[in-house]
Amino acid sequence: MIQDIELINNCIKGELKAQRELYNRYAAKLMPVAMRYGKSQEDAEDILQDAFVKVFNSLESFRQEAQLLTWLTRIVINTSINHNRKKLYQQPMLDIEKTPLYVENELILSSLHFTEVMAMLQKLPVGCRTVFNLFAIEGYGHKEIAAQLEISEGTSKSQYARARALLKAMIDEANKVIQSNISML
Amino acid sequence: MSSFEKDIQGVFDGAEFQPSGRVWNGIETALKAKKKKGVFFMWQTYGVAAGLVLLLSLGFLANDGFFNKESTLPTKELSNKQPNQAPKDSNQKPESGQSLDDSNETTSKKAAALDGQKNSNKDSTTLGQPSIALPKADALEETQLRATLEAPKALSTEQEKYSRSNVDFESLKAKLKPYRKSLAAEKIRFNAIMAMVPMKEINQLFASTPSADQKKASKENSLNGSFGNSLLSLSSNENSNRIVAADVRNPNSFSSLNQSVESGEDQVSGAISVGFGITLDLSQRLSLNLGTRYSEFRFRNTSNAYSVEEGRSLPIYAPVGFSPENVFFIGEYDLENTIQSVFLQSTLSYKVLSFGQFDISVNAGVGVDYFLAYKVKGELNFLETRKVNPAESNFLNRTNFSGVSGFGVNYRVNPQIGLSGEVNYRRFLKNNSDDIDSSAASVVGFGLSVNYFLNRKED
Repeated sequence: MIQDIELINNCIKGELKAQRELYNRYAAKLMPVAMRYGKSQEDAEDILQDAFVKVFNSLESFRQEAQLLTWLTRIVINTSINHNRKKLYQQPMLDIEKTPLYVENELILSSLHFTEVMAMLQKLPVGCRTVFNLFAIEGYGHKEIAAQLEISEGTSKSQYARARALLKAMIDEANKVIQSNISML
Repeated sequence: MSSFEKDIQGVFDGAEFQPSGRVWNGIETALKAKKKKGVFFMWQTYGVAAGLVLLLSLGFLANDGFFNKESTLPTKELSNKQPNQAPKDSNQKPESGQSLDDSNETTSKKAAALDGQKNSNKDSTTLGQPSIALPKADALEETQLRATLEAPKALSTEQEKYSRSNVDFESLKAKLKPYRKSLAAEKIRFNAIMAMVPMKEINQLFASTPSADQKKASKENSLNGSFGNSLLSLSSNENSNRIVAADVRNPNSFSSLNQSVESGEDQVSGAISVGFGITLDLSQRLSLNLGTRYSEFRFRNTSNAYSVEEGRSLPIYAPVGFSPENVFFIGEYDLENTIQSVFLQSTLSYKVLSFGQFDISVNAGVGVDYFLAYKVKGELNFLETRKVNPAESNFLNRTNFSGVSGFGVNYRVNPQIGLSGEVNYRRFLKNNSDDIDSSAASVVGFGLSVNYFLNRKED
């Protein structure tokens, strides 16, 4: 199989076949990232499409010492944020003072498939979803998130807490259904 | 990080989900559209550049007479033709074999003129007689002319008409105009005019002393100090004070005249330029441009002489640096002068109007020229273009400063690149040389340029 580096070089030359090969190699891995940020699969596909166009237009700037998948993931995340930015402006995130910052109740995730968790994430308001993804999955700090989304650090924290509370409620509900199904067997 | 974050990361770790086919279709469409846009951009940019290069090349070739196939016949060959046929009516149509006939006809006229000149020499006080200075184009031609004199024959009606002192110059030109297609005829026509029409300079020649002529010509016509009477203050060189006062000696001692090279007043044709620049937007409307241009200044005037140098007949713009033996005086003819230069300019531009990708700006600044070459093209077919390398000449200083102002129409290709068409008024700063009437010169020109914007500030 052709190596990533050679594939990248061929993509830079504008070879459509190489671009298709790169897409085939990484699209399925990147689609879940886009899905976490989008509100639907269709939304996620729009993000993924935009992200790959950016990838092919900026492959020359890829420094080959970095992991290609990491670099591609970063582009998908940035594209997602830009994609959601308009919605973020329309639904500004506010500090939610009375929301507890952390819910320490145990969230049972092991029994859930990622598509189920994804569906829950997609039900979150766009601000909560974005902050949750960036903090819980991408591993950014609230300070970085605040800077990137042009919100205050407190807003980032409260949005995360709210997302987590909403998710807990959805996960609890899902677990109850699972338990009830098990008891019926 | 709590166990929740670890768990949720674990859920998505290694997750894969195949997107639908529309994603790739969309990507492919976008990539192809960009390729087309890229080709279009390249066509725009390089197409314009190639067009400019082509235009410049054609301009240079035309300027160098590449397309003028009639101008390559050497002067020496003209006079070696054997004029054995009888004169014909000057109204006949021009044909390829016409020049010999013309030569015969005009030779007869010259003979008549020489005859008149000879008579004039016998009685030098008879100024009413046509008196001319015969170009020493070729000894053979003169021998033939003299043979004609020795065996005088009846002048044709046409010749008699031309030999009158009150010849209608314009009608002569009109009648001979068809022969302009022939190089030989072109030269002979002027020789004939000289032979038959009293030149304006004749009175001056007989009336003034050589030193007086030199002073006058030095002041009015020589290249030192002003490149033309009022066009460019380009030079100051004391070596250029010398003026050619050519003795037109006839081998048979018909006369010994002393005549000055005269050039007419300059008529500025304008300037064209092409180049590129770097633009720094100081604000949304004000910008600073540093540019370099290749430029050609053109102006027209007249001369009454040419010189023969290494077998080539070349026009004389001004009486500087020519050997008097090689200078020949003929009737007044037009000169087209071209000065090629590279100049650097720094201008401030103020955008006054914007519409779409276009805007109009006014600009002003200063520039410095570095002259590359000077060309003088005489509008006689037998004259070749004189090319002067400033490095090998004392004619002009190679650098001149000027003020620039004008307006430009600018087209924005993309945020970095812009194309501009400019109409500029350039005024050359005065030369402070000592003995020179250094009138500041000015010229209106048109230029094209490509500008690279360091920082584009949009409205």
